[in-house]
Amino acid sequence: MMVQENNGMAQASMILGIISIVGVCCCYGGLLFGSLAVIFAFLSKTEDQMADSARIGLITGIIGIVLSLFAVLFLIGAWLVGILASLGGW
Amino acid sequence: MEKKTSAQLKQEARLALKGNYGFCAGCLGVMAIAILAFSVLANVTLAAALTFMGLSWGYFGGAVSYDSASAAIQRMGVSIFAYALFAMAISIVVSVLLMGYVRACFRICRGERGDIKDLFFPFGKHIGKFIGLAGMFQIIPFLFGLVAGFSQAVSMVTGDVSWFLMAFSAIIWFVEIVAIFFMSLNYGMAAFIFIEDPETPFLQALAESRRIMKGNRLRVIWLGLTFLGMIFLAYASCGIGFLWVTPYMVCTSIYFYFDITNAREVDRKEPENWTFM
Repeated sequence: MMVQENNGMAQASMILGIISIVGVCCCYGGLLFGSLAVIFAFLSKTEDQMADSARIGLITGIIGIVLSLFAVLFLIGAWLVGILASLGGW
Repeated sequence: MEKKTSAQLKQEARLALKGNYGFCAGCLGVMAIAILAFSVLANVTLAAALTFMGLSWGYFGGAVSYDSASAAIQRMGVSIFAYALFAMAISIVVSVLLMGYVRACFRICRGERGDIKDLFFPFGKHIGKFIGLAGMFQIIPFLFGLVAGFSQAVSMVTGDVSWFLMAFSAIIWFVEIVAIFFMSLNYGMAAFIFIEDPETPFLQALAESRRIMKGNRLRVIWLGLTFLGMIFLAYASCGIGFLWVTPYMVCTSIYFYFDITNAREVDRKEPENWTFM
């Protein structure tokens, strides 16, 4: 069922969620905006069901957080490989 | 009367905060500025006073510059005591300001309009009660901090960093946390009682808090645990999220207080224009 509501916080959640996916390339950007998107999505839930925009914000926010965590792990991995390569002459 | 679940209390808090997040965030901003100004002032005064007295104003600084170990311990002792006392004073002011913030949220939960003046409500006629309550919670960290600080100072000066002292400090820290936890479980509602009716005598408020918490201690622990996810997210957002999460947590606690005191339901008006903030 579509939940239509003039809910500013839910809209903010959706916008921040989308920004968080874009912000993954800045590593921490995804985590920062994604966290805010998830917070706003939960706080906008004043009815039994979550508004559609809040649901989109929640999903995109979680995707943003997960992707930025992967990006951080990738960077740490690359850094470690770099150190090992310089030490062992890979 | 059936007790409300944590989800119901949170739902009520979200409804009450609808359209009031801007006000709550503004209150937090004012609080942060007041706390920062007081902390800077207190630290500068302390540093100046200790320097004037010829003592080190670093916590453990200057330990090596004294001839005898006993003289060093004595001088460091004064520094540690002064720092612990100032830290307690700052914590008390922060706690009292926080009670003002709770007062502002209290009004919102009752469907009234919040007022920035509420932040400074505890500094009014009944300041003694609020300072007393805050001091009651801060005296334990102060005493345990002193013991831990002195044991570290002794180990630094004598050069004997023994496992015994490290274990002793860890035990002190653990006991402090447990003591504060049990105090909060029994007397945590005293602040709400004072905010609701500042005329309540101090000891009566403590006894009342203990009475209403009976049978609700597990509920309050569970309620606290359900906020862990939000707190984690707020930290992940570099603390920005606390602008929204703090009023949410405070309002949920207020609704919990209403629930355990069987407070009457309030008629809450929907704000006309409810915006993002």
